[in-house]
Amino acid sequence: MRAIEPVTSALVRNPADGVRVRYEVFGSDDARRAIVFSPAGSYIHGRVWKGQAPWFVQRGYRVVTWDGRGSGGSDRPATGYSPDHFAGDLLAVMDAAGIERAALVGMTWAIRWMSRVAARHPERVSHLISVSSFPTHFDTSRHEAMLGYFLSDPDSGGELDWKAVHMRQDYRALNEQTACDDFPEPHSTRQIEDFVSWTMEASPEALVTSCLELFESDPATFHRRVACPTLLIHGSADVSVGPAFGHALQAEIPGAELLVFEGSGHVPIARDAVRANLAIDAFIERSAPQVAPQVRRWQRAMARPRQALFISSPIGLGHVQRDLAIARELRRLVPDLQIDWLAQPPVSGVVEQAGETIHPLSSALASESAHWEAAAGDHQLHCFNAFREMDEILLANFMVFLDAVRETPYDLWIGDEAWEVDHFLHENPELKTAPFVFMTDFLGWLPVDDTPGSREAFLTADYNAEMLEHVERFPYIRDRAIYFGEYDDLVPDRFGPDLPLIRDWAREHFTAVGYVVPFDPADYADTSVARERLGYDPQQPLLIAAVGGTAVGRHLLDKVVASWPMIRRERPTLRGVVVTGPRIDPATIPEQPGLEVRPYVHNLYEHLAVADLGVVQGGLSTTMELTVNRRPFLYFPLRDHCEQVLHVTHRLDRYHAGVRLDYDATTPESLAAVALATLGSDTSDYRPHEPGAAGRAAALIAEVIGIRGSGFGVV
Amino acid sequence: MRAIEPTSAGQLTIEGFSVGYEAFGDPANPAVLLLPSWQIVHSRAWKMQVPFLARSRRVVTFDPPGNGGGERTTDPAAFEYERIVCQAIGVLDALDIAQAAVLGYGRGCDYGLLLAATAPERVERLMLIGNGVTRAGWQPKPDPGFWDRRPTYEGWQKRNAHYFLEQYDDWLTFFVGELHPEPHSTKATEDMIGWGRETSPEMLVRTVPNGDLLPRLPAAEAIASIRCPVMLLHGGDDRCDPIEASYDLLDARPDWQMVVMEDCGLDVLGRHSVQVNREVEAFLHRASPAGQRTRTSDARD
Repeated sequence: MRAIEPVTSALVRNPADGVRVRYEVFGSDDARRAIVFSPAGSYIHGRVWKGQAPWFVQRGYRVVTWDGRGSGGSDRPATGYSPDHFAGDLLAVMDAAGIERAALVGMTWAIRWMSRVAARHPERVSHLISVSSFPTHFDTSRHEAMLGYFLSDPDSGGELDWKAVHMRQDYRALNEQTACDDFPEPHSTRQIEDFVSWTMEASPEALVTSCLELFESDPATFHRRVACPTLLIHGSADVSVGPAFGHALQAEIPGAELLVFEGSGHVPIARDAVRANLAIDAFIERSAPQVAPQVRRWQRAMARPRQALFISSPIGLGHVQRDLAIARELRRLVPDLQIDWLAQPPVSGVVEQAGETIHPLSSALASESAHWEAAAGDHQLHCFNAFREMDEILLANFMVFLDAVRETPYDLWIGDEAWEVDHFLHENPELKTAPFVFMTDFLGWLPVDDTPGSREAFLTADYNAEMLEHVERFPYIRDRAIYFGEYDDLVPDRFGPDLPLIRDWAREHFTAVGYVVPFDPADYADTSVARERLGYDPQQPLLIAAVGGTAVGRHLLDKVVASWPMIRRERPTLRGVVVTGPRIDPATIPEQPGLEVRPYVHNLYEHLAVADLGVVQGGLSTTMELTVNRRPFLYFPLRDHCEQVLHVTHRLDRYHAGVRLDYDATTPESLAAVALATLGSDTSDYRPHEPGAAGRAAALIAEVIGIRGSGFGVV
Repeated sequence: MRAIEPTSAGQLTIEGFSVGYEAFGDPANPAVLLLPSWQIVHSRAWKMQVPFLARSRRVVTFDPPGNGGGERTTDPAAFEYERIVCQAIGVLDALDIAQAAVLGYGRGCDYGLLLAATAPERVERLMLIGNGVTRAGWQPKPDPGFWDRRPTYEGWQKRNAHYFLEQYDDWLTFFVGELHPEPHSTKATEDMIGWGRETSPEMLVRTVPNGDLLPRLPAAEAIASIRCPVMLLHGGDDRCDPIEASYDLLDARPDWQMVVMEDCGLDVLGRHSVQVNREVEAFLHRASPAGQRTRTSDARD
């Protein structure tokens, strides 16, 4: 899913030749300033700016992206790809979007039409930012030779290159090669995939024509007539358009600044989006007074209360309960600690209900749970793929986090599976301005399809390798890394071929504190007392089916409901409770006698704690809550979900807990049978759980800000 | 030793009195003028700002009569606000500076507002630190009891001509203490008491407005007429010029902005120098309003 949806997605006709161009507008009508992102001609379309749109909206801009003619959703005329045509398209887009004046941002060729618009209509252009661009003149003495080369046929065994014949005949291969060239940075698989998929949405024929029309020697002096502040960004490792071109272009535009991204390739706005966003924003801020609040505050440091920012991952409701437990323990050690929570639904509701403070910028976060639900199938969720495809959302949310910490000088950042914070801090270490504690219950992507040489095996290893390299190069990013479990709860696998064993590496880089449950199991040991408190009959067998905080569990719920009559026939006194969670409408569950349907249940673990059978998905938090309370349960890992299928299963096996079932192979009949067999079964061989993990985590966190506790050990 | 020595310095006779000035940094850089304040201190009060600003700007300070490099006199004409503002202009003229960014603190805010109102072409932008001026009038407001003997001298009652003359050191200790509510301010208070001893109580009593030192131009008019960008900086725990005065200016001018430094006393220049320097730099670095775009000599990131 996208991090932000456009408010307008439409076509506009260039009045000069009637060609229709597709554009998208983001942000509110009353935004005080505007920024228009232009495509690099016909090759790659407006989606290349996916890392920019969400944050610039948040910065108060109206954001416009558009697809160059010949690509994306725009028309593909046979001819008409000169800079003047594109300039006309740009103006038409600005007019259609109701934008009088904007900062213009573009890549490579876009400088040709952006400079035309800036020169001819200076009142429309406040700033000009051009990435990986080149000057008016290539070496004109070579122009004929270049044109000849472009139009030549391959020699026998000719290499794939930027030539008309390859565009027409080997378009995909050419795009794949260009993508690899354009992203020399390690671990760029996601950017390369995006690039190939977007360039495939251009027309090869239009691309050839646009190259010819744009190649034309261009003696116009538009660059010299640019009067607005201009910023050029160029990667020093750009092989498509070498950095020397950036320097040459700087000489042509009066007063232009050149910002070199050392080590970056051709598309730094994608591969180093954080740094690009900050640079563009700072540039614009510097030369155009923004509307600041009339009164700003800075507090003398020694008068500041201790403050922490807690980032709690919104995938499901498991993390938030342990985070609240840790926060409670942390306040025992640091009573004056103020905590702001950067959290989104469904977590934010739980946090607020617990009386905690939600940071106001939380409302700017792009929805992660909606993305995960959209990625899910019938009891299926390829969590690694979903995570990879969430790159845009993670980037947007990191930018929100950055705004929050630039605004308030927190003493401490605590991230529970705050993958975006962890990743982008390692990529931009100079942005770390406070101690950071990273916490997780999951370590090491594993391929579900583990065929050696499979694409997935390669990608998971690549992602893991990047993380390992990050931590080794910048060990000071994580002041503390906390693992929720015992080291042996980690899978025995390697991070990838030729990569360390996950468990061994974790021993060196994580502190295992044990698994946090947000309650004291002693409170539920006497189930009759607990049942009375919760309104359940202590004598009546109780089945609870719950599928977590997202809509992914819908299909499992349906099977449970279908199996219910068969279960109840054998156990007529059985009481059943189905909890649909905050994102499934209970009204959509068919009514069944003896089966109660409840929407969200606060502190569901209490109810599960007194159940004779839990029926749950394969999520870690719910299964561990059942395990710790020694409840019989059935669990159904989501298909293709490497965490549930591999990590959680391994951990539960170690606890000898639960009955693992395959959703696809389960029918209502078989579900009924195993439910009846497991209902109220003996759980005495469940491995005992070590309590106190929340306290241990809190002690480690408090140490980071200099508060020593009373000597908690680690597991 | 000082962190930086002036590139030029000297005495000028302007408006009938001798004024000492110092200029730091490259004369080719854009200029910033750091105004004098109440004569109980002098231009060394800017000591934490000068070296930093001088790296990228031409920094000018001056001392009108009463302290520092200014002549010592008890002629009250030497302490007239309008005259001191003329001296500021005279210093700019002597240094061939057409226009400067101007910073003032304490009484220097009065000078800054008057300068920007009466010589707008000389003031590129204005920053007021610890301002006491309101629409109701210039500061300090004349205190009719200043020259009367008091039965007791407790706290602010010490702000009295007789107490200055007879218990000057104690007055300095009290006053400077009020400017530094923050713990561990010994060096800053020592500095300021030291500067206070470089003038005499006989002169200092003449610098306390009694009606004829203050500008003729009403403060409200001055405030309303200013066109250049203005930024306010104020300690939230300022016990000398309470922050309400700055809020009054903000009320009068919604286009002006303020940074409140919470839990800080009046002496933010000396006691919270890093943050002050960052705020000053950010303000100086901000683009001119549209139509006055300056291109080249801004310091880049």
